[in-house]
Amino acid sequence: MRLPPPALGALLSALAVGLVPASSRACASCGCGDPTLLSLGVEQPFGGRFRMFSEGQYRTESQGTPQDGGSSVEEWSLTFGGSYSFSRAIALSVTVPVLFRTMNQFDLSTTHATNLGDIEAVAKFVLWRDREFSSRHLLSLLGGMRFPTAPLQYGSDGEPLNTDIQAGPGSWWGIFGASYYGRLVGSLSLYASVLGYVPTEGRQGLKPGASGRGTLWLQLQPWNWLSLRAGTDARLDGVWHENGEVSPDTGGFIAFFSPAILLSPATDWVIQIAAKVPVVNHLTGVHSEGTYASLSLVVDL
Amino acid sequence: MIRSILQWSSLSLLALAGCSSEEPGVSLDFGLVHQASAGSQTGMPRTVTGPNGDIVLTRAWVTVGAVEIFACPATAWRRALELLSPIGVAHAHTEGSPTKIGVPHVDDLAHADSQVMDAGTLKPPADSYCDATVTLDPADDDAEGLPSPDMSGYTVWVEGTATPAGGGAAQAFVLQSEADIDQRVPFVSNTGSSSPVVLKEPGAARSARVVLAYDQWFTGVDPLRDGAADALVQAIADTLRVQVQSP
Repeated sequence: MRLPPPALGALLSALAVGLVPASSRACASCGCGDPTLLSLGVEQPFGGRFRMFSEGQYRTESQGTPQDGGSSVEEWSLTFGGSYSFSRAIALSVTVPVLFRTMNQFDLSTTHATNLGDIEAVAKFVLWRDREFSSRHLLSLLGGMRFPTAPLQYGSDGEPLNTDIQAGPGSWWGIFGASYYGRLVGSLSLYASVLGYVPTEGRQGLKPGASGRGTLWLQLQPWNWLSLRAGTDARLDGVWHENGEVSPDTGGFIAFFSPAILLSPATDWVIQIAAKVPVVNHLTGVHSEGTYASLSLVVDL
Repeated sequence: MIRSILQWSSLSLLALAGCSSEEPGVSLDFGLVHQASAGSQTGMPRTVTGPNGDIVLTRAWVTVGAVEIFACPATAWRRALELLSPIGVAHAHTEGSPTKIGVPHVDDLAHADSQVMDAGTLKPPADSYCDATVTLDPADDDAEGLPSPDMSGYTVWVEGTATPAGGGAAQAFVLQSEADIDQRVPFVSNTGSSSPVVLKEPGAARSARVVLAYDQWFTGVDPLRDGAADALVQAIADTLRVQVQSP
């Protein structure tokens, strides 16, 4: 295992320091994109490979109107985790999110919360490959679980904080899906995946809606140290319920344009700078999401 | 690498503990109270003035079903800005909202004058508020201050004695109404002058009271006449006020 170059160490430190909330409704399950991209990668697993990664992400979201108690949330998150490839067919990843959230409401109140999010474990099973080595086409199944690890947070009055700022709804989420990776012509490759998130009932009478995510992108790698990626991430959410009633401003469809730059300053090191810009918003009710921006580091050990 | 892992571990431990902080927004606390315009009385019975002389009240309950506040009318300048940059605002009503207390409260005239019954606290959008709609409607089984299940379903229940229009011995009456009235009233100060509530700074907290002026209820209502119960509800609505307390 090689130690990181000093510059990368500084970058990691800066990332960590920068994520401390400056001053911190968002559904706890929100987010977009294929979480296995960082943790497991798109390529064929190699038996015995251990990968570590971290991702700092910023995003915003707003729901509701002044008259119905609407709010906006600003979220900084640090997700870190690792994956292990047991063979060329099976790999398992675990991701641990830490969320720093600030919720602003129309009554000018502000709530800050820092908390552990819901830990997620996803396995990848390579179902088919066109050849044993240096596969050009790879079809995989994805399956896993998101655990209700985000603790319930309380305010100074001893009452639970607004559900919009809780780091998780207290649900168990079954995750299943499939992905395809294909090397097209030259250094151009394609990746597509669909993932379904199916929740159990959570706490505080919350019943999240099932969620489906789709990802499609093309990647061009003109040099070994640089790749450019562009594509789309989309999410289709079911309506949430609270104590048997439909939660307003939940559910719907949103799609993002997702460009990214991947830099590899050294063998087995990848830095990813990515954004997700909302381009289609058909979320139900008064609900919008802003651009996601992220900086990630992936290291194969 | 090891240092980074330690930093991550420290952050995750911090997150495992979880922490939060809150900075209060604006709020408007509401109370419900009954008061005579002049002087004060304690307990029951109470004597008020009617169209045919004094009326003695032995029991009286009034249900305030909801209070909703409204922002001051937009200035011409603000209306122009909103036309240039419309912001989606839904004026939807619900049983309770940041601008509406939807829990019914029953005022009992047996309580001392000026004894405030807490009606709830609104956390409305930051703005200036000029008036409120006070709803008088029937109490439900969950109404705050419900004296007995018998009151459930009634807006007012008043018992007492009054002198008939032609004179003679005082007669007992019982007025029960299920009438439903929304009364729009401006915020006023202790002196009765207009007093908008400005809630535009974080932490701004004000309080207001819905005041039932019971000594004016029967000024134009003869409790011994047909229809007196519903007329009484209208009189209560016409004479109530929303009084803003000094900051």
